[in-house]
Amino acid sequence: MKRLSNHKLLALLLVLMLVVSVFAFTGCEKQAAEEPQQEQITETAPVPENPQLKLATTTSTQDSGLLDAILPVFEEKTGYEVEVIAVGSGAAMSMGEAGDVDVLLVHSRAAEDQFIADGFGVDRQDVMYNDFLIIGPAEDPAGIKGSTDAAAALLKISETGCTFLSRGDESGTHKKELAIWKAGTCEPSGAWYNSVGKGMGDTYRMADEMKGYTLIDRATYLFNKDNYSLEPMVEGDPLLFNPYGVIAVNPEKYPNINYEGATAFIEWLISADTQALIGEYGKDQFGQALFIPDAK
Amino acid sequence: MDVIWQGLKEGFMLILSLDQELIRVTLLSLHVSLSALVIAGIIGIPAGAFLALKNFYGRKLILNITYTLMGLPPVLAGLIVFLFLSNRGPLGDFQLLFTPTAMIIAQVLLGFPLVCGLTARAVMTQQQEVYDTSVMLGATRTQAVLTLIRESRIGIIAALTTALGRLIAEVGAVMMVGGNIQGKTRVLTTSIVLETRMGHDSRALGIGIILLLLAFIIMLIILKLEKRSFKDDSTIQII
Amino acid sequence: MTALFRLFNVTKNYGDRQVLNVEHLEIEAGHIYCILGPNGSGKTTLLRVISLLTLNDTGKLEVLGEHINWAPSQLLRLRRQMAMVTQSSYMFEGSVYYNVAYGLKARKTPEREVKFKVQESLDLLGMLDFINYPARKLSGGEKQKVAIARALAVNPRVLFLDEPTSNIDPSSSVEIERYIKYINEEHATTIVLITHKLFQARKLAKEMFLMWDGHILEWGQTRDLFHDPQDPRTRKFLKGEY
Ligand SMILES: Nc1ncnc2c1ncn2[C@@H]1O[C@H](COP(=O)(O)OP(=O)(O)O)[C@@H](O)[C@H]1O
Ligand SMILES: [Mg+2]
Repeated sequence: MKRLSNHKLLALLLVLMLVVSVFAFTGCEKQAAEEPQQEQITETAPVPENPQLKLATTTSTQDSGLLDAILPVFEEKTGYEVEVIAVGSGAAMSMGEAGDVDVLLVHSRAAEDQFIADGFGVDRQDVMYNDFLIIGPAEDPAGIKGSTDAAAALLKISETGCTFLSRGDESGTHKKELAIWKAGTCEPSGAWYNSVGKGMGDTYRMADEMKGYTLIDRATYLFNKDNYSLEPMVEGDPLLFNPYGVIAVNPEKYPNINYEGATAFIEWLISADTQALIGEYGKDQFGQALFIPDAK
Repeated sequence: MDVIWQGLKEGFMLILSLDQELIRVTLLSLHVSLSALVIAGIIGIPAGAFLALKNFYGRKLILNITYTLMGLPPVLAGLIVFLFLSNRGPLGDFQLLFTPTAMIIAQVLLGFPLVCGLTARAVMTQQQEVYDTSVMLGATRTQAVLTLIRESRIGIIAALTTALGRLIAEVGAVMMVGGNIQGKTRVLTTSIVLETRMGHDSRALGIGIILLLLAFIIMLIILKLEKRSFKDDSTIQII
Repeated sequence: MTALFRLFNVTKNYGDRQVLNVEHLEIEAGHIYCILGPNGSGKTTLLRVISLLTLNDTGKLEVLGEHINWAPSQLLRLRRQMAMVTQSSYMFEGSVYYNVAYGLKARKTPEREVKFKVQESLDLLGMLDFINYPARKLSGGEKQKVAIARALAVNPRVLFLDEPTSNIDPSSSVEIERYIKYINEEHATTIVLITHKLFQARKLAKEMFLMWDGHILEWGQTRDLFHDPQDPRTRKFLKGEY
């Protein structure tokens, strides 16, 4: 008898847990659904016809914290809700090609031009640039520290066969790396060349573990450098600059696209106020700006 | 729909093209997951039988922990192994991080609780009379325990197939400790993640098809072996 | 005559229920013994205690002339001289051959001898045709026959049979009874048989025990017990009134 009631008790407990979780979940949804309504009542911002704006961008803008810093300003001002999809530049672009997103913030100039030439994108604007640097272990087995010639430095790494990690994911950073190899007329291959197919943060971490060289954007570097031991080796080469562009997905290809929102976003992004905001970002935390605004 | 069609087409093209890189990736997937399965089996089956048969203080607790770990998230397993093998970790000197060995270790960590827990379950469902019949026929204790394990075959094979399914399809742990290095530690699942990240959806889908085919073939082989060892076992007839 | 089994004040409890309480019992070598009694009276438990499958709670227990200390080596040595056909005749997953060869293989018997013995025992029980048949697919009676063959294959000194003919048809039953008698006479195998068939006990056993509520109610020569039962409950039981 006692055993039986024990079992019943346990079964009841399980059912209870289930019920509670279901209720908690639906409760959440309700809350989420109610919240914006309340906000809209208190806010004075204009309510756009279609407030959902999907932005595909590279992981670097997300991981550096830039978007978290500036997007709330845009949302408050215009009433749009920006849904950020942070992927590699390549994936961002193919989302644009499929009409799955409304606007792109990417850094892969050649691919961007192709994207527009193929008719998928319109209204491209320069937004800002950041720069890359080559980092490596303090011992610097390739002897490249202090150089300002990125192509020569990579060439040296390949000649000495020192461990190098490549993003290998067709991201903007990966394409930049390939461009530098090309500038030094070198085809990297061999056991020393590790194509890891990962995001910047993971590649940084792996490079640190493997004591290898890698090409990294300044934002990710500054953000993580206290956790790892790799040091800057090469910086300042114009080849290492990395311009970001914003592109609206062509509404003629996909009529359902939120082109209005995309336009508002682009205008806001290149406005003087926002540009100043971008130029300030990172100064208080790292002592230097992560992105240099360059909208014309 | 287009992408899916194209993915199917590309999948079969990939198989037909016998792409060198893809073959290497497939073989590594097999190598890692099968090695992990074998190791998990070699330690998990005896451990499960031990937990099922030996009464000692804390047995219930260990069993419950094992059952809980059956649901260990792969990324967590990966993280644990990563922290141990990292240069800053206690086993950093072995320089195992980002090697297939590290991937096998992480997958053993995932597969072991599954094999151990399900084996324990399978052995525990055996009746006292199995052991009694066995020792009354003159079996030593060890022989009798082996017989108990043998009688639990169906359950143990189910444990192994479940574990294999989990390991071959797992991406979190191998990604973290393997690093997805092309030509060194890239496997089918990490390839799929990478191709998706690069926006090559149909190629990703194609590799997915290969993964499924591989799992299917392995399961067929296991079932075939199972059939062979159970000539007399047939399904329950429901009329 | 030395006693193969000797019990003094052996008890066994499950929870707070006493299922066995035997003040004194002796089984001598070379005879057939029958244990009778109603369901749940402790027959199987008694058999399990003397075959060292169940630990007794209190009392003194001697098996094959040895005082039992439950050391694994002692258990193995003694059990290898005994064999049992359990009530359920559990069959291992595998062929009839696998099942009957089991005890021989456990003793590391050479392969050729295993084959010979398996065939011999199966033949004796008329089950040779089933040698490659999956054991789990046999009928209840066939399983019991295979279980008997399996026990016999190891040439035991003592054979325990727990209701071995409960599922067996009358003519096969007669065969098995004849066979029990044969191995007892031919190999001097001591046989302890639990049965509900009174005529079987009468036909086979030299001595019998009547169990009641865990006790041995009466114990004596079969003929005496049938002709002149001392306890009124024995009388009723043997008349089939229980
Ligand atoms: N393992 C066990 N746990 C609890 N009770 C048991 C166990 N084995 C036997 N019993 C009980 O002991 C009593 C005697 O059982 P048993 O010796 O099997 O009777 P039978 O004379 O019918 O063979 C029965 O009432 C049975 O329920
Ligand atoms: Mg019984």
